[in-house]
Amino acid sequence: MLVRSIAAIFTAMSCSFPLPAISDEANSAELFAKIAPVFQSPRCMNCHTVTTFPKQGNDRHRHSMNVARGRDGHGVVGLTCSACHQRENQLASGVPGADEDWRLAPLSMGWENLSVGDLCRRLLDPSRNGGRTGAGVVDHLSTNLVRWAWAPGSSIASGPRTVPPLEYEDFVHAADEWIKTGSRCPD
Amino acid sequence: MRDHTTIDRRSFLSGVGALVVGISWTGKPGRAQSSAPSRLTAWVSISTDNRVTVRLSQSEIGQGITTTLPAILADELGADWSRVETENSPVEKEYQNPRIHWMFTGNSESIQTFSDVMRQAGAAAREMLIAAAVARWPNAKSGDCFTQDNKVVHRPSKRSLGFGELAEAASRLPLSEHPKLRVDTNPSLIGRSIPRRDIPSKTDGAAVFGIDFKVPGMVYAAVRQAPMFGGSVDTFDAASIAGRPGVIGAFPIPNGVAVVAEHFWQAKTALEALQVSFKAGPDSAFDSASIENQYRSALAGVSWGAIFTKGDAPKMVAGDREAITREYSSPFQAHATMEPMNCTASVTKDGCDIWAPTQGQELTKIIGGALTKLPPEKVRVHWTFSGGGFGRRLLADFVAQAVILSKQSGRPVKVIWTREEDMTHDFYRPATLTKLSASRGTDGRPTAITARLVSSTQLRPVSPGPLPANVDPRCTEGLEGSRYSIDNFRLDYNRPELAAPTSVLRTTGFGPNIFAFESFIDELAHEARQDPYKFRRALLLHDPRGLKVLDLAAEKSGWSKSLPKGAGRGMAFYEAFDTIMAQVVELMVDKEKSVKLRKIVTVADPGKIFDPGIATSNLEGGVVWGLTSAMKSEITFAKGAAVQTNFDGYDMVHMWETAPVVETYLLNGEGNKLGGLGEVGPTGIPPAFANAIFAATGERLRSLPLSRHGYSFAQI
Amino acid sequence: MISLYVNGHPVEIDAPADTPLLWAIRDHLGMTGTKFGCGAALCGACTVHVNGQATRSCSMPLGSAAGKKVTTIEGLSSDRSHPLQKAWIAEQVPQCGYCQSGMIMAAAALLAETPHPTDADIDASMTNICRCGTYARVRKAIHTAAGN
Repeated sequence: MLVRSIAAIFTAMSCSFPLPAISDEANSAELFAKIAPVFQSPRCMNCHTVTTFPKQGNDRHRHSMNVARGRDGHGVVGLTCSACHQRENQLASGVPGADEDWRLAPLSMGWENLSVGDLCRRLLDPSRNGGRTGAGVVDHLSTNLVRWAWAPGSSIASGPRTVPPLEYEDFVHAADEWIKTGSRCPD
Repeated sequence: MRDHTTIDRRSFLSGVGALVVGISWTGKPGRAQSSAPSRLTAWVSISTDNRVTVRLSQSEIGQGITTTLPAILADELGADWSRVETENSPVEKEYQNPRIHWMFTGNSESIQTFSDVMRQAGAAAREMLIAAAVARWPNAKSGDCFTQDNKVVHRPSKRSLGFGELAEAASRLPLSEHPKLRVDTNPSLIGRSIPRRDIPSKTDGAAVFGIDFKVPGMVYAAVRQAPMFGGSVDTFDAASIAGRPGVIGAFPIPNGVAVVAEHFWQAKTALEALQVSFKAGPDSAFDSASIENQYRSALAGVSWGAIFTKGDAPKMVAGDREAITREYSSPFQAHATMEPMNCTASVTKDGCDIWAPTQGQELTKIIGGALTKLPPEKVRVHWTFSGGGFGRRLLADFVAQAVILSKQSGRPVKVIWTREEDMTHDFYRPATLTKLSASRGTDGRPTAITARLVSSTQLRPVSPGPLPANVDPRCTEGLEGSRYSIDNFRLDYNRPELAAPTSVLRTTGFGPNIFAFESFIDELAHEARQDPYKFRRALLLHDPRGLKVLDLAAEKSGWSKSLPKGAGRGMAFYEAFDTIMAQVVELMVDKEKSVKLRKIVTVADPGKIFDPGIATSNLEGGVVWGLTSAMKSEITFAKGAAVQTNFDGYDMVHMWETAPVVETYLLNGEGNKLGGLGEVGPTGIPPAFANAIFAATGERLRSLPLSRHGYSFAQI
Repeated sequence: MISLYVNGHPVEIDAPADTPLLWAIRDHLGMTGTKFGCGAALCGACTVHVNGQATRSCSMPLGSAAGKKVTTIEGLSSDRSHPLQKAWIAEQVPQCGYCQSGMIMAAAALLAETPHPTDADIDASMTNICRCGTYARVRKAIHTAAGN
């Protein structure tokens, strides 16, 4: 926690504190490139859309049944996300769930069609990420909704869902390092 | 064209004394009656408290038959509609379809065939009640009496007696075998929209579908059928689920294994835990590509059944270097009734009771008898509401499972299929491959058409008799000539034998055949540089009834009105199930091939409209069915199994995808034959849809579903 | 034993917590108005209200419903007097009727929060499948019930 707080101070106050060394900066951008495929995995992207609806599957098709984002990302009246998505993955129906309200990320955090560099800058932009600082971004990674991506359950039709390309612990560790080394973004 | 032979009067009017077991239209078991009602004919009984009970031999699958058939009888009888009730008939000879001597619900003929039966039965009961009244009134003549509101009225004296007071005496009179039908210019029920009697119970959960039926001591079964068609269970290890809560046992069924338990979820989860292995059958190694090869070689081959011949079309087409030839195809489709297959059976040494959401009443009884070796009088078939039928419930594979499992477990058993079992163990609408050729006159109109149709069977699984090679009336209907003025017409048919099971599905052969034929007519119009409506019109000048249907559809659809860029209208005209139809689809297509429907017009002339409200509802819903069929429905096969398993892979049209304007117009034509309405609504939608896309984009789509060409419904 | 409220009554259900609420309602409580259609939250035939929110009961484990208020079609009214039930009868909506319990429950959740829905609201909320194709009448009946 201490490490994160220091990183947060560095990030937030980077204009008035000395920047980390150049080698760290390069390293930081590389670290982000390493973790970017996780953010870009269908498990994350399907709800971090720039559309008025969520997506499904590794082919990232539009969510069936015309499921809509709604005003707050929780779906619409009569068809909220939690009409089907409960607090855990459903073996019976194959419907995924996590111990948190199932919902879309806000449109400001839509990541579709972004380059790795732009994705990185989007993550760090307090005007778009809910006022999170760099460390706050990493804190979000410990939520049950994010953790779900590594235990996504099985679809009845297509079998076990694929997980992001890094182990969760490696991902969080690399994300921490990315922040610690100055949360730099690739070009 | 189908013939309607005259009704064997004795067989339908007799039948006194048959056991009354039925489900009333509330879905609740018929209420206990204080005194047994008097049975006047096989179809009508009347209680002393003046209630008329009409027997139904047709099951309610959503078509509204539990309202229309008793209304027809009630009108003829002069009954008070508020005092008319229904009960399901037993499965006995006198309740068979009198045209083909088989008891079933389907082929769009519940009204076509049974309206006359209802009228005859109502008239017979009326004459018997009048005779009983006349016997009570000195010097009264039956000719001076009429019936109204459950009463016999003596016109001169204005005396009257209630049906309830007369029923017992009437039931002892000889059966009126040749009753005179009422000539009533002002019927109280027929021709009007009557509120459907099953609808209230379908708004509060009270309606009892097969899956809802309960009998004391009942347990549940979940089934797992071999994943590949023609496969069977190799081994299963009942011990692997021993001791699981509620589990009664694992039992073999013909093509799989079932687990019986106190609750369905216990059975289903135990079945998932059961160790079982399957083995493929000799024909299990097929897939969509191998079936297509079979169809292709059939189309290129020489083995054909000559189904319809008028003039000498093959010679004219062969001799015409300008002849046009086009090929059309349609996919396999699943029925996907909203209520998955299920059945409840109780087999004891005293008999076998079967409660099923079924369209195949007689087949169900035969299967029950064959599996239990019980005599027919000990096999009792009761049918419930069906959550959709569409032809799937004409079969009895799910019935057999319930009977077998009740026998093995010694308990009443309700078998419930999961959606996955339902979709992967259907008897699918077969794919079709059709080659149409036309020779044309100088005006561009067809003078000769030859049709070659390849389709695996529809009729065999639901037909009591054998079918000769390359004959299958359910597959070929819709291409057996045309109402259009075409002097030379020939249909040849080849029926390949497939390892995939196929059978009838709503619209039967009419669906794929009219897609091919009405697409072809549209192409001929385009080739002749003529408006598709005017082109069809010119082919119907000899047919005032057909012309009226076509013209009304053109008028109501605003056919001549111009459309914005990207929009198009398409039309289909046809006769199916003896009903004359025209449908127009208007839509808009964008660059991404995303389709927004704008308006759909349907005009139907079934010869006579018994209930315009129910008819309209059927046709409106049928349009939606047709849209699903046109755009979305396709079952494919891999490794001997259906690929699509649930609604994610086999989607239905949703509310937001349907047209904002759907108009339906009914005509009472001058036809001497009644047409059916249950299946015509969807029939013309695929060709009208594809023709509209051609009008909008210039792209001619000759295979279904349209999604395979990159089209989809616009999402909101 | 899992305790919850169904249609205003406290009930205790002796079934494993992972039993879908749908089957607990149908088999254990014997209330069969809520229908099984797909088992995968795709068709909406099993829609009930959980704490007032439309929920596909095939996809909610009984354990998640513990302590909550569940309303099924049987509990919408005791005498078909809910405006939607009246409208469903007036507009003659159902055909086979199998999907209609779920359809009505989805519509009831919509009207509870949006008393006068637009066509767009209805399109977004009503994703239930009806194989008979009664959608046009469903839409009309919702407008009727809303007094639109």
